[in-house]
Amino acid sequence: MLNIKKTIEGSKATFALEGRLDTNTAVELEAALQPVTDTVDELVFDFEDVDYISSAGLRVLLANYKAFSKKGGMKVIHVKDMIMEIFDVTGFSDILTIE
Amino acid sequence: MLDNFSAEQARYFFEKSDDGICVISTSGELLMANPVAEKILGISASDHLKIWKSIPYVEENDDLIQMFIDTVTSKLQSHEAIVDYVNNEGKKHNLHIRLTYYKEELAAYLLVITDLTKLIRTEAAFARYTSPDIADYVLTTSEGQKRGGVSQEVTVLLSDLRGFTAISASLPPQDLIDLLNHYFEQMVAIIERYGGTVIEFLGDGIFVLFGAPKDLPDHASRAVRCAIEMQNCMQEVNAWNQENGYPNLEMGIGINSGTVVVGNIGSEKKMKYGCVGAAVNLTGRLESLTIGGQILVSENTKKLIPESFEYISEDSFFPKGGINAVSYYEVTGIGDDLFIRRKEEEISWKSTSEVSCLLFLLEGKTVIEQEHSCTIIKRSEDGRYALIEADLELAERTNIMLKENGDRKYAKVLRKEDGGFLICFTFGN
Repeated sequence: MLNIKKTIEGSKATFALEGRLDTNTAVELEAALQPVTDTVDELVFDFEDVDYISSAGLRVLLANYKAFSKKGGMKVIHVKDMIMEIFDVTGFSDILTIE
Repeated sequence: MLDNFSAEQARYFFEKSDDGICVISTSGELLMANPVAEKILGISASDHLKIWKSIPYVEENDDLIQMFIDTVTSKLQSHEAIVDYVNNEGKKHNLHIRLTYYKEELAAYLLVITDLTKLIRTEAAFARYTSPDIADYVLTTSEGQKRGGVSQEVTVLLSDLRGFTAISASLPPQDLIDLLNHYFEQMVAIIERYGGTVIEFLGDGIFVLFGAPKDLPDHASRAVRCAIEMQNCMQEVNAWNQENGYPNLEMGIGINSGTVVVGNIGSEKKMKYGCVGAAVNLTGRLESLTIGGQILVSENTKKLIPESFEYISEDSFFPKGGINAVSYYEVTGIGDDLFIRRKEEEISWKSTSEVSCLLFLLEGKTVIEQEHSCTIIKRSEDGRYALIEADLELAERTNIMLKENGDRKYAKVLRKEDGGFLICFTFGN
């Protein structure tokens, strides 16, 4: 289960996620991102209520990180401890901008 | 016990183990790795690199990364899986991975790797050298490993290529193999689709079993359907042959059902999954009676088939040592949907004058009363086919009856051709 709340301010989009980012919900997130990818410069993921991220979820983050690094950048905010541990052991904490 | 274990001994086992062993920090750094682990992963532990910076982050390695995620989210248990792994040189492996989280003075992950690549390749090769069903039977059942057999009711399908000995004498060896391999490739794909097990290739022939080792209650129908599709596929096979300058191939198929003994035959050191019994010999005899393009099905098989069964001739023969004659049928169709396709060019036409007759449509087995006028434009030399014109549009597969001078003949519309409809005369059952 993943709830996606999208907020657009000017050329910045914030996606507040709630729940699990796994193989199935990663597809839903990709679909939700598709319309804004070309129209905004900056992307923010609010992970305050994200309980879990799978390898599929990591791929979505990586793909968007790459796409937005050519523009205004992408960052992930309010990351919970366990998600941070996942980012650490998989090396994502070195790649992504995490606040 | 561990008190007696010196650091030297521990180091010895760590370095000499056939399994890869790594210790990874919570920030993903490779703290320790034994030689086998370094070899499998393709990285060195001495540089204290982060593991996911050193091995490729590609989709094939997603299962491995998922294992790390699982271990982080569920620290109290050890996690194990068989995963694919691609190293920096692009080499593929199948690995058994066990990942455990330890928190003593220093929190870390213990990764134990067993390289299964060779074992899995061997199994894959085994399935290719026998057949997937036989490989499955041998690898996963207890009977599969032993010699011995069971009595089973099956349908045997034997095919071979007419006149192949002459062809094999006229082609260079590599061409002969290419020709045969392409033909086998097409046939085996069809056989597998119908659940048949290839017992063996006998020169240019194929020995197929339906109903063993896997139990299939509709083995008889499957065998006949398979045979029809195999014959229909010969058009594509020969189109390829022509493109490559090879001669055309003609295949005959014999099908018979009965109780046989199936199982592992041979000696302890060399055995195969085989099939013996009078039913097999009878199939062989039937098959030897075929001419190219024919499928001959015995009455033993026919009576096991619930669907409608279309044949264009029947005969009988005495099996070796048998007292009773066995009937057999030249099958051209089964059910409402599967029939032998014949190209018009393959049919040798007789030159005769056109004949007028009456045509009736059939609904199931009932003739619909309304008369239609019809002209038989030409007939084939063997009397099986005709090209007709009619005063109505006829769909493929329509069953019709022709009344010519008081004689009634049943037929099936094969397809619309230039100048009329191609029909095939039939017997029903």
